[in-house]
Amino acid sequence: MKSILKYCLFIAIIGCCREINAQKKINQTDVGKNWDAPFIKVNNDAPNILWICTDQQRWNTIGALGNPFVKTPNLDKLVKEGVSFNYGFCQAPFCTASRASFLTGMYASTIHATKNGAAEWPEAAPLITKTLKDAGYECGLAGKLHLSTAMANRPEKRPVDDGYQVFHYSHSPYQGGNSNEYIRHFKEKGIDILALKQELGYVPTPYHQTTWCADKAIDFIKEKREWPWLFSLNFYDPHSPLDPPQEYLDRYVVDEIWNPAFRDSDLKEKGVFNEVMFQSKPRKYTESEQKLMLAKYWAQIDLIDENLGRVITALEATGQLENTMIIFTSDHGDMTGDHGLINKGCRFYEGLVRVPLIIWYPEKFAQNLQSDALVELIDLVPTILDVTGLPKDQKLQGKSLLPILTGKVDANVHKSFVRSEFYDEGMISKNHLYGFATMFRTKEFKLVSYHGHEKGELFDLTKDPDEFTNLWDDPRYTEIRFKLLKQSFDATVFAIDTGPEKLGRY
Amino acid sequence: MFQIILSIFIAILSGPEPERPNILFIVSEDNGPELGCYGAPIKTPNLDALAARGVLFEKAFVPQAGCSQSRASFLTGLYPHQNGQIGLATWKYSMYEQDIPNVTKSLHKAGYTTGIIGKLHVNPEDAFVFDWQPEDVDLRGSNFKRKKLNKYISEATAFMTQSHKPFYLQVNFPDAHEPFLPQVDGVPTRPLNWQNVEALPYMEINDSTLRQQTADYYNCLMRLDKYVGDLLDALEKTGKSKNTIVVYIGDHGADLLRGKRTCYEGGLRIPMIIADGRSNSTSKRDSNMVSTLDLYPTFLSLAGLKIPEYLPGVSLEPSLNGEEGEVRKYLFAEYHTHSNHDPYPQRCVRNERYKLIHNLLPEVENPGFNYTLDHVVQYTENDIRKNADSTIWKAYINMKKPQEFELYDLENDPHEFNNLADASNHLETLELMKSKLLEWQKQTNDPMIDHEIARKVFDAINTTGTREKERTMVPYFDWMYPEKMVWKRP
Repeated sequence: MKSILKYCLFIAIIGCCREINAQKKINQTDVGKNWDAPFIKVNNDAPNILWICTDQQRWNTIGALGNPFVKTPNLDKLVKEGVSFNYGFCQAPFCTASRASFLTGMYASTIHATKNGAAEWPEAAPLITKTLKDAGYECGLAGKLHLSTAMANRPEKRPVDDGYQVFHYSHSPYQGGNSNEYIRHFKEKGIDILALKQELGYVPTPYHQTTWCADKAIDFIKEKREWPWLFSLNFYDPHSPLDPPQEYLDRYVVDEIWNPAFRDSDLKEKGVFNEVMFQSKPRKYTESEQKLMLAKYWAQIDLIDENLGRVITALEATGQLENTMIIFTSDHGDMTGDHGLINKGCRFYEGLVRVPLIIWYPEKFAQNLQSDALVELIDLVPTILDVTGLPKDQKLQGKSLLPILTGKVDANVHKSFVRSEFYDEGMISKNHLYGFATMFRTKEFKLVSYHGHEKGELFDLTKDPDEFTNLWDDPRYTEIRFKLLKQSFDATVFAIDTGPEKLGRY
Repeated sequence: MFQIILSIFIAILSGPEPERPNILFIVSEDNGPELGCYGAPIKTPNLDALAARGVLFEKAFVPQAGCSQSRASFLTGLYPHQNGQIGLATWKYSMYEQDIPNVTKSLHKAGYTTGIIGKLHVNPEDAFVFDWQPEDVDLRGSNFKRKKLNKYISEATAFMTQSHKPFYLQVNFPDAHEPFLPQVDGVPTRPLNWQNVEALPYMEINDSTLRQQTADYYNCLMRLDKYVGDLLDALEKTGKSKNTIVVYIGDHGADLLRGKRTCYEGGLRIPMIIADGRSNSTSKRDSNMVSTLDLYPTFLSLAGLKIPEYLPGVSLEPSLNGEEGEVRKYLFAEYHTHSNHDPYPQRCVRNERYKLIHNLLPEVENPGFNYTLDHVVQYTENDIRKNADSTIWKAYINMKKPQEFELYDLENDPHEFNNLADASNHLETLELMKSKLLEWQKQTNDPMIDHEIARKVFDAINTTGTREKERTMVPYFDWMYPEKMVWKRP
């Protein structure tokens, strides 16, 4: 009896198998797509990623993109062989919030990482480096991270899992304390970086933090491994103090370089916001002061470019260049004298929010393509997820650039607006209203709301690309201002973290 | 054409040397004997054909189930604990001395031209002498992306054709390493999926997840077979096959549950086929236990060289010549670590019937158990509980923190789920196996005979690197090789 039952079962199973096999044949075209191995989650051809993020480098600082003074042959090469975005915007005009946003693909306010000097990383979203690590990448870093407070006496606490397995931390070249590996490295060799700086006014090239960061990247690249990698090459330069090694500054004929965008009217116009912290107050620099400032700033970028060249050479020498995607960007800009302002802060002029963005991967992406589309740095995370074949979380606020990179769509169309935010309420004093401000920029207009203030800023970028004339109170622009305010309000509300997902009807 | 004429001239000019055979050594990655000729339910016609004209070793083993550890062993003829390559080269583990003799040095010195395609994966690389390797970087590494597999054949063809002297060519194919790519460049033409296969028997779990993994593992092996076939055709076309010995092995078992990184059969057992083109030896199946440690002595004797006494392996040449080789009664293996995520020192001995695993640190958990589940196989303890019957589930969970000794009766329990170490009727066997293991540890100067050293190395591996295990070198040389005299110079 038992054996008869077994036999029946056998026949039944055979029947089922036949059916399954018939179904399988229909699905043959799916081979390799649906049957992906579960072990390494990234695509088989997922590239290495060299992600260079300089600190405080504004948009118009690259030779091939229209700056006739800088000496950036390696960046020029990336431009010619890659895709550059002429309108790339950071989501905050200062370090922590900007870095938090482009490392997570989320607006800084949504993930609660809005301030420099914050007590801790809020752990509200995974860094792309953690996602990649979990999917089989090895991630490394040299230079700064700056996702929470990073003081000499209060060293940065890393996120619980930032995904970096190699971590050569140097928040800034001149920060003391024990956490600065760069200072420690040279101290062990008997070289005192701070003394050199004091003696010469700059640190010579062989000992420069830029050189050291590139050295660390090269060491990492030369490691043998059987999996893809990502390296965050986070130089401190061209961040102030403007102190390039002398020979780089000597290459500039200071008198010949252009002036920043400044008119005497700026002193009054931009001075209206003096009480909104923090940002330098507008002042009139002499022409030679202005030019020297620019030359020093650019000279630091030249040193970065030279080191980028060394890193690319290492990629080539190790046979990894063709399988490496290079991203070049910066966390935010620097006013460098525009409107009499320097450094950065709670302002959203082009010099601050518009940053270089080049993506180089000629093996797969378009070459010598310059896009005029509006792009946000939070678009990088979904782009990387697309390139590596990883799923994109629905919560992500960035929008993948892959269609532009692969030349599949009009390169000049991406987003209808970009946003940038500032909610740094630190260091409040009685005399100053703290800075809560948001920027909403379309191709034509830029609207800046200083929250809690009557006054805001509205620029007609088509007519006034250098942002001299504030149209906030101009009656001819009332309707436009209202429309932009509504759009900005909507965008801000849509970016709110609404908390846990809804499970039931109530 | 000119080259051919030139090579003929050179051949004539160099006179009638005793003709030593070429060696074409094919190494695949991460696969046990799951081939048609070993009884697996897949088609591997090319490897089957190789077996049909050579010797198939039914019981072949590696001394440690990890890439670098296994490769350093077959190249030096020494156990990992003897040469120092106790973990992966990619994690900075290394042989402790560059001067340790190896296959490439010996054959090169004896006048062979040595070449390698694919990865070496042993440190220091300078310990090896390769006269040739491809220019293409993709063909110098592990190439888990399986790029340009056709180029393995064209490069091998060029090397074999141009070599005027006898050659040693080691071709390291990337299959069947993870990721288990079901299809690359249309190979295999019809990939299997889970509905077509049962999970590998030694896992003793047969749910759809493990069946899918097995299917994709098989897909890799079918692809491997195709390229092995192409390579053997290429050898044929060079006209040198009649004087070439083809050796094929997998470097260790599959990266599946109870495979790679364990001392179970799924980790240690490999396919080994040797076909001597000079003889028309018909299909022979050798059922003696052999080790990849036997390859170095075999290569030496094939090249007419003396086999130094310090080598623990024996030449397999007698078996190739149709004679009865030396019958090995006990075969040894071990485990130290793989990356820095999974150290767990073990020593292992088996005879025809029994296997003993000595877990040197029974007081600690084996971190590799969960690491393999979480990061490699992506299968949870709950999945095991759900899909395995209770004795199997219990055995799996015991892997996490096994008792000091594991004794298995391979005849009645071929998949090693029933530990007999506490069984009163196996006391004698246990004692016999323990004494054999200890004897071997003494003979081979095993530093971990002192469990304190095992403990130190284990702790150092666990604490080396950052939270996320940066690949810095673990300082194990200081404890394991203080006098650097573990192997004896020839």
